[in-house]
Amino acid sequence: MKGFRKHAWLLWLCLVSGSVLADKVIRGPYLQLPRHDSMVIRWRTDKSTKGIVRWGLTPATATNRTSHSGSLTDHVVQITGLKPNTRYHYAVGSETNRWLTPMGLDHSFVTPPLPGTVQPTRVWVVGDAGTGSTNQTNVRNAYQTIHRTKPADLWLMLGDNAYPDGSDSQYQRAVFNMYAGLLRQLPIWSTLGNHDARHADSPTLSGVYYDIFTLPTLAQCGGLASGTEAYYSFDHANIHFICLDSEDTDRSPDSAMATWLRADLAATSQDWIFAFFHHPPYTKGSHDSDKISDSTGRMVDMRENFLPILESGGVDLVLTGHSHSYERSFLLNGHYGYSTNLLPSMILDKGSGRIDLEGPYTKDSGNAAHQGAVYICAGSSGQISGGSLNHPVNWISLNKLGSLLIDVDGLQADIRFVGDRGQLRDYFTLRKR
Amino acid sequence: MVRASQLWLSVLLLLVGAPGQAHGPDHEVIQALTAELEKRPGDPEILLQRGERLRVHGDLAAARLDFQASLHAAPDSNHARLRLAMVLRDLGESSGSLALLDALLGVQRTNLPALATRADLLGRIGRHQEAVLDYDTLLQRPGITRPDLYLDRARAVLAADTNAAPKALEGIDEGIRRLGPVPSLQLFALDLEERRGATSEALKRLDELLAGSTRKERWWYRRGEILRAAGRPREAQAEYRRALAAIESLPERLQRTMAIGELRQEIDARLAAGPIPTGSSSRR
Repeated sequence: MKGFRKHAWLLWLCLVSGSVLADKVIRGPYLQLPRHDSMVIRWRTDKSTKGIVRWGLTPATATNRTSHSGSLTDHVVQITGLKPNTRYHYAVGSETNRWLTPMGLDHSFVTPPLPGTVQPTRVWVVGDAGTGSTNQTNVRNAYQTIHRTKPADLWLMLGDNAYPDGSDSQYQRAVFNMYAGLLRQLPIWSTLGNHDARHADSPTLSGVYYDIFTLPTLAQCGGLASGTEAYYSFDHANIHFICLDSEDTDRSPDSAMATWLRADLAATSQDWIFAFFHHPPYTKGSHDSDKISDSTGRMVDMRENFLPILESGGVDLVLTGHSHSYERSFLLNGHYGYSTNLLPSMILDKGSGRIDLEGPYTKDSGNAAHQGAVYICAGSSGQISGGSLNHPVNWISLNKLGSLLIDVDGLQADIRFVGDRGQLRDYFTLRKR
Repeated sequence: MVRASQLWLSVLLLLVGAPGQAHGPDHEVIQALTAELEKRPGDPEILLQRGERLRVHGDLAAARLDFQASLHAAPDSNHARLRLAMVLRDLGESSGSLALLDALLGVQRTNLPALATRADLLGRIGRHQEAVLDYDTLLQRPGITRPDLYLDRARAVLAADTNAAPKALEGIDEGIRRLGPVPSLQLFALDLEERRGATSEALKRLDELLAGSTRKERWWYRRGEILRAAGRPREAQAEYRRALAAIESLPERLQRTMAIGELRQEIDARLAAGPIPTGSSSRR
């Protein structure tokens, strides 16, 4: 009995000291740079360690191992040799071979299909979400209910992901703690918002935002190389996504970003082109896109300098945030001036775009130029801030919380704005002939 | 060490700004900072914060006053000096901005935002050679990864000396080596090669673009145009035919677009015209 007590004491001591000394995951894991054949997995531990990922097709067969070199707290591991459109299970661990996360569906992801593959794709989009508030929680919960039935394939963040200044601790609160479960399963793509930029610097690609996200500079996920993480493109199934930096990169017509965008649009063969950036070209929400002084002219710059390029390249959908409201346009073309300059001819379809009302917005397939695009400001995933909400390009403008769901299936895209209690607040369809 | 006022400010901004932020919200922050300034008049940190919020909202004149007051209260603050220099530049007060930047860079030679601001300012006021020097210093720093800076430097080089295309191209190539095959840099170099009539160099650059592109029709067409302009019409015709073949290999939905239709018309017109020599044959 005495011997048993002694051993029990020793066992207890080992467990306690082990738990004190062991490293813990304090951020993530989260998924970046998704390709049909690879995935980047990132996480943070409280102590420096060599990070290892164990992965495979099932939890039981997850015997492949990949690690990074050196001892770090912020771990970035790219696992390669994956099959397209396939679910993989993974766990992250440390050099001591202790696994810090469990195996299971909660820690798994599906690789994207080969670029150009036509298959149903769901995209979840949040804008200006990063308040860490009940509002953000409710919007997330509303999506999570949908996620349980049919999860998204990828996730876009439209900037201002962490308020008020995009600091590391604010990101921890508003992104990593808020979305922990989703981050383990959905690869995430982001654009820089003005609040993120307070702790980030695009010229040097430094600061919290650029430290957190692993984004393509050399067209690793499709598109053309931009040379910078500030703006980039990628392909998922039959959709070409373009992320622009409306905050901290030169927005002039002869800028590197504009030149790259022209080339990138000319190079894509995908059925759909979706662009996203932070500053909306059309808004009368908490910002006013008619005011040159608002946001130091960024909204005007994007409208005057980048919309002509995007529309010439056949863009279908433009997603932005910044105004904390939901504003969705008609099918629109060629409106690069102020709201007072809007001509009726610029609205290509005056209907709602709803299949059950006037019918969907239709376009020719093949990325034809100037066939119309729908512009959505969806910056109400964490707060609402009012405004006159009367921009004439918009079919609907709401001072309501919510997030966007985009379902693309072949040549049809169904877009829904889902409220913070799961309400369907807007919906419309884009269809290609 | 973090100053007490900075800590206090963080708490204030978190309380006031956290759920609000960004605009109307920023006005609330500005109001809160103004209220705090009434309690702590002349606090340089609060002035700096308010000035920055005002600047973002486009109220440059008010921002300038705050930055000036902040610098007055903390004459050693390089941050306040830089912010004031930036807002003066944006207000068109070049000499005042330049004096501040010179002073700042006199003590912090590698302050990157200051270098970038001064390079830009020098370019704006026509002192291109000096701008080039600042860009050189800036681009020597590790971690600078912005294609625009390479373009800006090349433009400054050309503005300083119209015969300096080789030097401008050297700088662009440095960017391509560092950032990879970025079309914004490659296309600038291609345009420059074409403008100076360096046909073989232009073709070489075009081949690099072709290699990295899945859709090649426009690049073949451009190859034809370069050769045609160089007085090599038979070779140009071959490139036009390659462009046409590339179009015809596209999926039908892409062939039907207006842009491709226009390109096809241009190619057809060139092919119909036949191999008629044009341009100077003296090009390399």
